[in-house]
Parts: sequence; structure tokens; C-alpha cells
Amino acid sequence: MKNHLRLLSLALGLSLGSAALLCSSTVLAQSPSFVQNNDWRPVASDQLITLPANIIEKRIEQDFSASPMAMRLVELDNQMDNTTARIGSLQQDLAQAEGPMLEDLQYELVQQKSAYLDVLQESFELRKNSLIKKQQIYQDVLSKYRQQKNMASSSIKVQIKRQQQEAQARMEAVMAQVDQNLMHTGYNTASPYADEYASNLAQIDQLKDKINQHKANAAPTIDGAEVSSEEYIRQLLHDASMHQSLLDQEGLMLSYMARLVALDAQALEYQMAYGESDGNKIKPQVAKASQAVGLFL
Amino acid sequence: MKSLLCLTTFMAIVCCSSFNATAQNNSLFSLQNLERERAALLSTLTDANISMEIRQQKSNAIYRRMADIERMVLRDERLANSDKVLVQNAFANYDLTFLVHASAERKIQPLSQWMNTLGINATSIAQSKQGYR
Repeated sequence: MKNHLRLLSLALGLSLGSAALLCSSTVLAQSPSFVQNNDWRPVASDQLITLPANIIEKRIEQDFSASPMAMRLVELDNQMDNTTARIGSLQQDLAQAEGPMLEDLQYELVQQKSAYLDVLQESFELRKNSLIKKQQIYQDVLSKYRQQKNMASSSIKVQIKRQQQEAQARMEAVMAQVDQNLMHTGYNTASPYADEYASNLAQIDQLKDKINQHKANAAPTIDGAEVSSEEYIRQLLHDASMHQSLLDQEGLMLSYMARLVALDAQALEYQMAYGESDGNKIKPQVAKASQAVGLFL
Repeated sequence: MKSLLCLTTFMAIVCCSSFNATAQNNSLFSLQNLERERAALLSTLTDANISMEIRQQKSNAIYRRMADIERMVLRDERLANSDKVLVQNAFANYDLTFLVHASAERKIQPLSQWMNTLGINATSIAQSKQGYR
């Protein structure tokens, strides 16, 4: 009777759980209380923006793996492994069990499946939450990049830099002409500044090449092709969106699994209450008038 | 790991501070130098109290210095980091600021370049009147 009541509540709980999961697989704002205790609160700080895009990704992942949320996920994974092993051994025992032993094993199997689904649901919610936060932080990084870019392109300094570059290009076109004019005025040798500048320039170019080739200065790559930081972050956002879509699908799977366990529990409850449903039907003995006719003859 | 991070930060600070120290010293130094030389060139070329020979000699020396200083100004990254009006005006008026290179571009004398750019010619001088501004 005790088992019977437990099964009834388990079936009801799982039915409600599967319905809730179906809803939460499409709505992202769900955040049960257990998620709040294992929180992760990343912030797109100004220091983070200064890092190369591929390092930003690594930094965020590192920050996540050190958070209580990630630790709880590892813990849940271990719990799921243990429960899966227990379910496997129960299914093996079930094949050989009979009578009351069979009922006990069936009951424990449903209970273990229910426990597994509880842990899976918590893990699912945490993964969904972490993905939302990653998306949010990548969006923040992207908007800060764009903000910086807009500020940089509209400032007076950028305008002066551009004008200086234009002037330099214009000057370089007539440098030979000026040097020739100087020779006509009697200055046959280059000035000390021009001499020193020319010799330093070659060394500066070598240093610049070395910096450009340095691996710490390398641009982030996607599929082997170099991309800008903004493009790399956009790709990360695309990945996050893809994982979210797959997670929604996983939510649907989880709800169907819960529904299946609920049906198992319900079937077990009926079996314990009314016996096997097929075959031995108990027909009530009804006195028929035709059977008593002989008594009156 | 921690010491490596410290070293990287330290080197980054050293790079920035060494550049900033010189920049903060006087970011407009090269441009101010050019302005002085240009004023000296125009003053020499318009000085009626010196002989043609001395004028030529003096202006040649200034011309050579100006060629160097103009190149220094155009390569000076500190100026690009400045938002001073002097810098904005200097780059907005290339033909007047970089007199040596702008005149070589048009194959004329620096004084002619100066006067042409400002629209000073024989007619405008003849039509001008003396008075207080």
C-alpha cells in the first residue's frame, strides 16, 4: 500500500514534470532555485575587451569552469553515471526475478529512472543557464567592440592620423625632387637626420616583421582562415545559438523520457492494485433465472 | 605563471610609459620647430636689408633644415595622438605648413608657394591700402 501511494505520487509528479519541461524547452527565462545557488556571473569588463578574441573565449571558459555552476555540473554528471550504472544492473536482475521480488525491482527501477531524470533536469537547466550567460557576455563584448570602433573612427585624433598619412604619401612623392633641389644649392651629402633615419628604418621594419609574425600577436582563425576579433565573436555567438537549439531539442527528449517513466509508474501502480491486466479476468458469478428453472419443475 | 603575467604587464607599462613620457614632454615640439623655421625662411626671403647673396645663403640653410623638419613632422606619431588646434590646422593646410615639399611638388620657389596659396600677387599688392586693422 505504501509503495502504491508512492507510485501514485511519483506518476503524478513525473507527469507534471514532463509538462513543465515541454514548456521550458521553448521558454528561456526559467530559473529554478537550485540554479541560483550554483550561479555564474560573468562580466564583460574593459580589461577583457583588451584581450585578443580567441583569448577572450578561453578566459570566459576558464572563468566558467571555476564557477560553482560548473562544479555542480561535474557533480551532477557523476551522479548520473552512478544512477545509469544502477539502472543497468536493475534491468539485468529484472530479467531473472519473479513474484514479489519482481515487483520490488520494478518499483526500484522506476524510482531510479525518476531520480536520474531529476538530476538530468537540473543539469539541463544549468547548461541552459550557462549558455544564456555566455551569449549575453559575447553580446556585451561585441557591443563594446563596436562602441570602441565607432568612437575611434569619429575622434579628432583619427582624423589627424588620416591627414598625416595623406600628407606623408604626398611628401614621399616629392622627396627625390627636394633632395635634388638641395644638391643644386650645394648640399651634396644627405643631412645627418636623413642618414640616421634611413639606417634606423631598415631595423624598424625588421622589428615590425618580427612583431607581425609573433604568435602572441596572431589574429584569431576560423577553419584556418584569419578573421577579425569582431568576426570571431560573431562566430562564438553563432556557436552558442547552435548549442541552444540543440539544448531545446534535448529538453524535448527529456520531457518524453519523463512521460515514459510516468507511464511506467502508472502501469506498475495498476498492476499492484489490480494484478496483471491480460488473461485472468475475474468474472463475478451472477445467479441466472435459467439455472433455477429445474427447481420449479 | 604569476611572475610571467607580472613581467608581461610590466613590459607593457614600460612600453607605454616610455612613449608617453616623451609624448607628454612636448608633443608639439617638431611642429613648433617647423613653424619657427618657416617664419625664419619667410622673414629672410622678405628681408630688404640683406644682400641677395646673403639671402640666398641663409635661405638655403633654412631650406635644408626645413626639408628635414617637415619629414620629422610627417613621421611624428605623437602629433597624431594630439587633438590640438595647431595640429589640426597644420594638416588641414598642407600647402602652407609643408612649404618645402609643397613648392617642390609645383616646381616653384617656397616664397611663391606661400604667396600663391594665400592669393598674394602683384595686383592684390597694388590694390592694398595701409591702415589699422
